Amino acid sequence: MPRVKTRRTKPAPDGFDKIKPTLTDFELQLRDAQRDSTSKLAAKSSEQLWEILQIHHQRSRYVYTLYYKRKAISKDLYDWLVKEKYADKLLIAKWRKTGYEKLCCLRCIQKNETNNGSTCICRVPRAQLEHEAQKKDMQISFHECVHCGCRGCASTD
Amino acid sequence: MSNRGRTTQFGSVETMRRNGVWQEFKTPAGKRYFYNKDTKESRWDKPDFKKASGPQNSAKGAQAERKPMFALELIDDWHLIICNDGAKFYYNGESNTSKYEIDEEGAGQCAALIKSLDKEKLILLIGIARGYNVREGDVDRIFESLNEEIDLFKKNQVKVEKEDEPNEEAGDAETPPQANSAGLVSGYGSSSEEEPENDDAGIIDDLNQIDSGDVNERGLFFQLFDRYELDKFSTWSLQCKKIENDPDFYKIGDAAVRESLFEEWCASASESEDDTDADADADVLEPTKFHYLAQIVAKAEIAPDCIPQDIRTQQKALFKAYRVKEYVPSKRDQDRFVSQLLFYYKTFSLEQRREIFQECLRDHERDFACAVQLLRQDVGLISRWQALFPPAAADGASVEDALLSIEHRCGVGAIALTEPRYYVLGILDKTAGWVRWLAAEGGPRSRVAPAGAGPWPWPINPE
Repeated sequence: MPRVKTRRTKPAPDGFDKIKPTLTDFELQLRDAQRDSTSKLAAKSSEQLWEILQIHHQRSRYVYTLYYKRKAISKDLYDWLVKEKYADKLLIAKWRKTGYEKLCCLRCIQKNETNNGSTCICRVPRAQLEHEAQKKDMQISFHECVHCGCRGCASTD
Repeated sequence: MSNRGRTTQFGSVETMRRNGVWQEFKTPAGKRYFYNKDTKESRWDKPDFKKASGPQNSAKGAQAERKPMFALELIDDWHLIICNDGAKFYYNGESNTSKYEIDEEGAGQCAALIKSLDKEKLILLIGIARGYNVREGDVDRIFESLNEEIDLFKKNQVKVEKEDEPNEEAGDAETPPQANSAGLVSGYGSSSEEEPENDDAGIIDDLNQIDSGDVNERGLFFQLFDRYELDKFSTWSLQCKKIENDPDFYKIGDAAVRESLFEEWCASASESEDDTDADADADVLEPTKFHYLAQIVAKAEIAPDCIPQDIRTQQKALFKAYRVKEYVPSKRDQDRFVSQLLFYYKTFSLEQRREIFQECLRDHERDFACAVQLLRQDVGLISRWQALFPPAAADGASVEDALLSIEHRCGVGAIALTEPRYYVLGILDKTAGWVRWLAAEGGPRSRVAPAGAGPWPWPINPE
C-alpha cells in the first residue's frame, strides 16, 4: 500500500500525472479485493490474500517495466514511487537478477520456514514438473502455491 | 537432455581472432580508441572488423559469429552440424574434416539419409537455430524424432544390404551390382529428386516467410494499439481490456506474445519522445561540473592563510545563487576541489596562471584535436569571439555563453572532470585563453611564435 500523504510528503516529480490513472486503477482493484469476503472453507481461506498479493505484484511490475524496460519515467520519479511504496523495492531488486525475472513473491524463495528447507514449488520450471510426473506416470498435482497462488514463476516458463 | 548434441566447443577460437587485429584502449582522459596491431593505425571510431581486415580475413570474420547449435549423428561418423545463423555443414569425426556438401562417392549413404529425413523438421530446426522461438520441450521433441528417423533409416539399410548381398552372390541379372546406392535413393528420397540441391534456398525462403509473417502481425498489432489510442504509460493487464473485443486482437494466439508486443510498442513510443526532448535540450548549454565553483573561487578574496571553509562562509550567497550543490552534491568534493584551486591561486600570479591554463590545453590537445580543427575552420565564429574582447565592451553573459559553447564544441567534459589546472582562471580570463589558443594555434602564426607567447587579447594589467 502506498504511504499516506501528509504535509511533509514531497510532491511527486514530473511525469507522475501520466501514470496516475493506472496507479489509481490498481488502488481501486486493491480496495475491491479487500472488500471480498473470505471463504469459510479452510482450504480456501488464504485465497483472498492471494488476490491482494497478485495486485501488489502487478503494480510493482508496472513500475519496474516503466523504469527498467520502457524507460518511460525518470530516475527521480522512480525513486519517489519506491519511497512512497507504490512498488516493492525488494521484489524489484530480485527481478533484476538472472533466474528471478518472473519471481512471484519474496516468500516463495524463502527457504527458512519450509518443511523441506527448499524454495516454493512454483519456482520449479514447468518442463521439469512434467518430466518428473511422466517418469512416475502420474498427473502433475501442483496447481498453485499456498503462499501467493502462483502457478509457476520460473524464468523458463 | 544432455545427449541432445548442442556443441559449444567449436566457435571460441574464431571470436578471439576477430578482435586480434584491432585492440581497444583508453586515453588517459578516459576516451576510447582503437589500435590496429598490423598497420599500427589508431582511430577513435570503432572499426568495421569485416571490411578493415582484407578479403582473406573477411571470410573468417563471417565465420567467427557462427556457432554450432545442433549436431545430428549420421552414418560412418558423419555429423550434420547446424549453426546459429542457419548454415549447415557436415563434419566427419573420424577424419576430422568438414564439408558444405556431401557428394555421392564420399558418403553416398549419408546423402541418401539426409534426403530421406523429414524436410519440414529440418527447416524448423534451422529456424530454431536462427532464433525462431518455440518451447523448450518442442525442440527436444523435434530433435528426438529426427534421431528416430535416422535410426529407422539405419535399420532399413541393414535390411536392404542383407537382401542385396544374396542377390549379388546369386548373380541375379535383375539387380546389377552398382544399383545399390541408386536403389536407396529411389527408395527413400521420395520428393527430393524433383528439386535437387535447392534445399538451402528453399529453407531460406520458408524462413523468410515465417519472419515476414511475424512482421505483418506486429505491424497489425501496432496499428491496433494506435487505433484504440492505448495509454503508453499504462500496463497490459488494464489496456488489453480495451482492445480484446476487436477481431484483430485474436490474430495472435499467444498471450505472452501479445504482451511483449505491447511492451515493445510502449518502449518505441517513449524512445521517440526522448529524442525530441534531447533535441530541445541541445540548445541549452550545460556548464562543466566545477564551472561555478571555480568562478566563486576566482571572485573570492584570497588571503595567504585562506582555507576552503573560509571561502564557503565568505561567498555563502554565491554558493546559493549558482546552485553549486546541484553540480557538486558532496561537500567534501567541493572542499577538495576548492583547496586544490587555492593552491594555484596562492602560489601563482594571474599571469603565471594564464600560462598554466595554456599548458593544460596543450597537454590535453589530443583529447579534442578533431573538434578543435573543425572549429578553427570556422573563422567567422572565432573572430566573433575575439570581438568580445577587450572585456570593457563585453558583458559577462555573452562571454560566458561563448565559453560554454567553446567547451561544448570541443568536448572538454573528460578533462574538466579531472584536471584542476583547467579551472585556475575566472570565466573572463578562461574564455580569453581559449580564444587566444584557438586563434593562435590555428593560424600560421603558431608556427612562428613559440606557443604561449602569442599576444593576449588585451593588456595583462589594464591599469
